[in-house]
This record gives sequence, structure tokens and C-alpha cells, in this order.
Amino acid sequence: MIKAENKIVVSGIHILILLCGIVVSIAAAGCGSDNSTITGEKYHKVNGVYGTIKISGSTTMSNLVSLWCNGFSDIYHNTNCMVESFGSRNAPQDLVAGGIDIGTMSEPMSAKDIQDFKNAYGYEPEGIKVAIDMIAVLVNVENPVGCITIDELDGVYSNTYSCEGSADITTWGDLIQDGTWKNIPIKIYGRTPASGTYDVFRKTALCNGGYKDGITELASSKDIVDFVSKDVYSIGYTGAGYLTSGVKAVNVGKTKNDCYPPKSEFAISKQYPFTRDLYIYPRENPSKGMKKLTREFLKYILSKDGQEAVLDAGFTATPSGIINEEKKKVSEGSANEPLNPKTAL
Amino acid sequence: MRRFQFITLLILLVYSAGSYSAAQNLPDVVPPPSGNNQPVDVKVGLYLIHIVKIDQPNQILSGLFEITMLWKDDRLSFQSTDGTPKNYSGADADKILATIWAPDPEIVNQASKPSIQKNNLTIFPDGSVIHRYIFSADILTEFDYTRFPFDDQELRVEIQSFTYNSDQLVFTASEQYTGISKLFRSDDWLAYPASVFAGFERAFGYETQNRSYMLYEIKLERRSEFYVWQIILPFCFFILISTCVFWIHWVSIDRRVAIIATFMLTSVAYNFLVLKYLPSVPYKTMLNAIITAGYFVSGIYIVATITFELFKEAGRLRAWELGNIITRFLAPIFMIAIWLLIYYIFINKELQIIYLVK
Repeated sequence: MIKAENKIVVSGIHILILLCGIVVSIAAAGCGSDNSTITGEKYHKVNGVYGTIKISGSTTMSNLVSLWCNGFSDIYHNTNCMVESFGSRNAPQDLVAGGIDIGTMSEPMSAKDIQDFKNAYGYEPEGIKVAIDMIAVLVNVENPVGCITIDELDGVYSNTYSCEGSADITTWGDLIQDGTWKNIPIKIYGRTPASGTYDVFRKTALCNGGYKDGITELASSKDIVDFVSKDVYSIGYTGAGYLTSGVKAVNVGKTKNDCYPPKSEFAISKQYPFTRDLYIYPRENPSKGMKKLTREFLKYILSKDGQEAVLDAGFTATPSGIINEEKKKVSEGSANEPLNPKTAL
Repeated sequence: MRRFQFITLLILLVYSAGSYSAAQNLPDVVPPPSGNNQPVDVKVGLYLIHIVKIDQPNQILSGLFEITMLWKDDRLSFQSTDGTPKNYSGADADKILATIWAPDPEIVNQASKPSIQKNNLTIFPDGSVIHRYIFSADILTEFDYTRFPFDDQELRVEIQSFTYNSDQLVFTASEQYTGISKLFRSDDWLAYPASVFAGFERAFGYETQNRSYMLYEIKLERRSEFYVWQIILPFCFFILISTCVFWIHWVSIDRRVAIIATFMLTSVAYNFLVLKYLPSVPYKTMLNAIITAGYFVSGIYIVATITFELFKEAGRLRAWELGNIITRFLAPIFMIAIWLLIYYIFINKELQIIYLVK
């Protein structure tokens, strides 16, 4: 009798445990987004971080910087960002002028930029790799082209034909075997010279050549995607993070046999040719005294939280080996401790 | 027929002549200052002075703001021995502004036309201009109340120039004139320093023409004390106190169920009473989830009470007694655990389950 009673009571408890288990399982199932590629540590809050971080540079990185700023100010409510995204080319001159704390660039600084920076501050700028971007060559989703080689791209975009084997290409018939596309001219979109993407594409796809006339230059990646999604006969290039349903990324390779799509695995293995690192350049030298605010912001960017923002912005997270190297750059030296923390109103 | 054609022609001629003369009478627009063919750099700052109200269902925030614009126009430079600037306010400032070039910042996400309260214009001898005005505006927001009342929101104010493209005018951030005013007071919200994002946006309908924009993001954190002390704690108290029935095991089932049901109904009545303080949104907020869980678990208490009573009637006194003893402790712990789980799920931004539910 007692056995039977106990059995009933135990069953009741089991049901309760089961209910709790179901609730916890549902919660766990909903956990996070795609964190599988991010292996770093989460950012740990420290005391005494407040103030304004001034950032200038890349338009490609504008969404990413916005995510970092929002995430950082969620942790430190008394911090805020002033961000100007007018193109990577503005970052070196703004750093030299001293008006900003961090420059964002979608390409590394040129030798001249480094020298100007060194002349101004007496030390070399410290470029920190924070994300990997792929420049996607995109066409309208209804366009049948599947693979395009670098020499073909050179023929489409360039008038110098610097890549081996390239020749002028003006119609889709040169890229697609389908006869219906034979005499249809290619409407070409590209970025403005202030953009880092413009320069990286010129160096990689045009083999350091020059752009031809007649390319419609647009100021942002979003605009390129927008125009290509509306024009079936157009082609453009942009950061892979900006792709939408109206466009598709074309596989790219040196030959038709080694064409790769702009996906993370091919970016990390460098098989996709238009892969580039995204950089941030702090004005202060991490080893010669850097504001605590800037240092913590950089640490946040290199943490798991910061790299998740990289994924959210559509870029590829930096591999953990590189992240560890970049963290060493940031953690060296001593920080200037702030004295009078500003309080929230 | 010819007469009709002649009259029509005459009317068209008179009309076009009128239009031409009307166009001739249009005031001349002062062009922007052109220095080295570069766009005019207009530094813009925005202060949040006061939040008047937040219309939660329609997602509109009514607030009082101060905008400050700084630019340089060499055409306005004048001789001055002591460097004293010319200062104009109110109607005087309006008169001067009608004769000089000034940027035209428009709030992109405004719900209605802003109303200017105070206006000030300062022109320095070197042609530098500071134009500032206080205005009230209804701003469209995208507030997410999922974590209500432990939510924090981002008030976004986007400013663009609709008259001038990015070749003529570029907005850059003025740190000095951006932030939360010292006059800011709100019983409901804490406001934190504003972040500013500036860049170019393509002008609608144009292929290569861009406009300069500035996006101000002001972080607002809700003061949740009122909701905790006036709503959440009393409600939780009602629900938890109903578990006392498991301690008074000698009373009959109808009394025990009646006690739980009374507390449950009191909670329902209380919920209706405080409904006006809750945001009217079509999805579950954290507070909704806490209240719903309270009702749900109260229902479980009633089922448990009846089940134990059935044991007693079936002569299973040991099960009845054990059930009562265990439930005395398990019932409140189970309820508190559910509430903590809800809090954890809603407050933790990494748990996306609440958005799946939404």
C-alpha cells in the first residue's frame, strides 16, 4: 500500500521535474545565434570606463562599428561613440589631425599614411585585424552567370587590362554562353574612390590596373546592392555582408575550374580571391599609454561578444589564432586611469 | 471651332505669362558658401532636454530638443575691433536667416512637423555662424518592450538635409553640443550619453546623388522601481501566499480551493487595475509572462489540492499526507523558480526564445 502511495508521489515529482526540464530545454534550445565559429572569451567588465570614443573611416564597416558601439555602451552606460563613416581614405588623415581615437579601414594603411602618422606621433600606427571581409561580385538574382574569372572581371571593369589574358568585355555575351544575352551591354556599378573597397578591388581584380570610364560610382555598399537588384543586366562589387535576396554572389576564381563562392570557409583558407582583412588603427600606441576607454573598446572588439557582432554584420570572424595575436597588441603597456568618472544624468 | 481654338490659345498664353511672372517673383535662394569647391562642413549637435511623453502603442516619443549648427560663411565676415559677434534672437534671428544661407536639417523620423520654441543666431567677425534653436518634436521610435519593465531603449533621431546633396553640404558631429541636457528630468527614464553616427545616404530617385545624414542614438533606461514595488511584488505576494493552504491540511477541499481561487481572483482584479501602466503591445512582455505564469501555477495548485483530496477519499492517507508536506515547500519554490527562469530568459539578450514566441 505504502509502496503504491510512494509510487504515486514520486511520479508526481517526476512530472514536476519533467516540466522543469522541458522549460529549461526550450530555453537552452533558443540560446544564441550561430556561435559555432567564435571560440574566444566573453568580454569582462572592468571599473572606471566612461567617455566618448571618436571613430572615423570605412563605410563598409559602418554597420559593424554601430553594433560594437551599441554592445559596448550596453556594458558601459556612460560611454558613447561619435562615428563618421565617409570612407577608409579619411581615417589616416583624421588620425594624424588628432580628432579621433580610432580609424577604421577596409585595407591596410599605405606606406605614405604610415609615414605621415609616424611624423605626427613619433611611433608607427598599430593596425589591428578585427574581421575578414570578402568583396563579392554580384549580379541580379535572375542573371544566369555562375562563375567569373579574374581576367574576365579585369575586362569588364578595367581599361588597362593588367591581368594576364584579359580583354575588353562590354556585353554579357562575353560571359554567358546563352545566346539571348549575346548583345546585351553590361551595366557596371562600382564604389567611389574614397572607399577602401574601390582600392582593394582595383588591386586584386584589376591587377593594380585602372578603372574604365562609364562605371557608375556609388557611395555605399547598400546602394550597389540596391541598383543591381533592380537591373537584370548589371554587375557590381561590394562587401559580402551586404547581400540581399535580390542579388546573388558570383563564384570567382583564377580559372573556371577553381571558382569559389564568397563563404567564410573559403575566406579563411584564402581560396576565394577577394578576401581582405578589416582593420582598426588606434591613435594612441597601446604600449605607450592608451586611454582605458580605448583599450577596453579594443578588447571588447576582440572578445567573443565583439566577434559575434562581426558575424551579425555579415562579415567573417577573425580566426582565433590571429585574435590572440591582436589581443597581445592591445594588452601591452600601461593604461592611463581616469580620475573623475562622469555619472549618468 | 476656330474661335474656340483662338480662345484656348489665348488662355494658355495668359496662363503661361502668369506662371513666368510668378516664377520671376520667387525669392532668390542664397547658394551655400563654396570654399575650394568643397562641401560646407556643418557641425551639428543635438541635446535632449525633456521627454514629454511616450505613446507606446503608436511608438511615438514627444520630446524637447536643442539643435546647434556651426558653419562658416566668408560672405558674412565683418570688421570688428574687439571681435564681438553679432547676436540675434527670436524674430530678429528669423529675419537674418531669411537673408543668409543656412543649412536645412530635417528630422527623417519625425511624426509631425517640429515646433520651434526659441531661436538664436550668432555671427562672428570671421564669418563663423552658430545657429541654435529649441524645438519640440514627435519622434517615431522602434522601442521593444519585450523586457518591460526592465527594458532599456534607444531613441534614434536621424537628421538629413533634403535641399543640399553631399557635394554641397556635409554634416559632422559636434561633441560639444551633443548629449543630454542638464535640465533633463524624467521620473520614468534614465538617459545616457548619446552616440552619433554620420555618413552618406543615397538620395531617393537619384543614381549617384547622396545626402549627408546624422543619426543620434540616446540610450534610455527605464526606472523599474515603480513597477517592482507597485505591481510585481504585490502580485507575487498574492500568488505565494495562496500556497499557505498546503499548511492547513485539516480544512475541507472546498475551502482550500476557495482560498487559492480567491487569491487568484484578487490577482486578476489587481492585474486589471494596473493594466493602464502596462504597454499596449501585441506581444508578451516580461511582466505579462510573470503574471501569466502566476495564474498558470495557481491553476496547478488547485489541481494538486483536488488530487490530494482524491487520495484521501480513496483511503490513501499516506499519499495525501506526503503530497501535502512536499507541496508546502515545493509549491512556493516551484513558483519562484518559474519567475526566476522567466526573468533570466527575458533579460539575457543571447536567449532568442522570446523572439520566437513573439
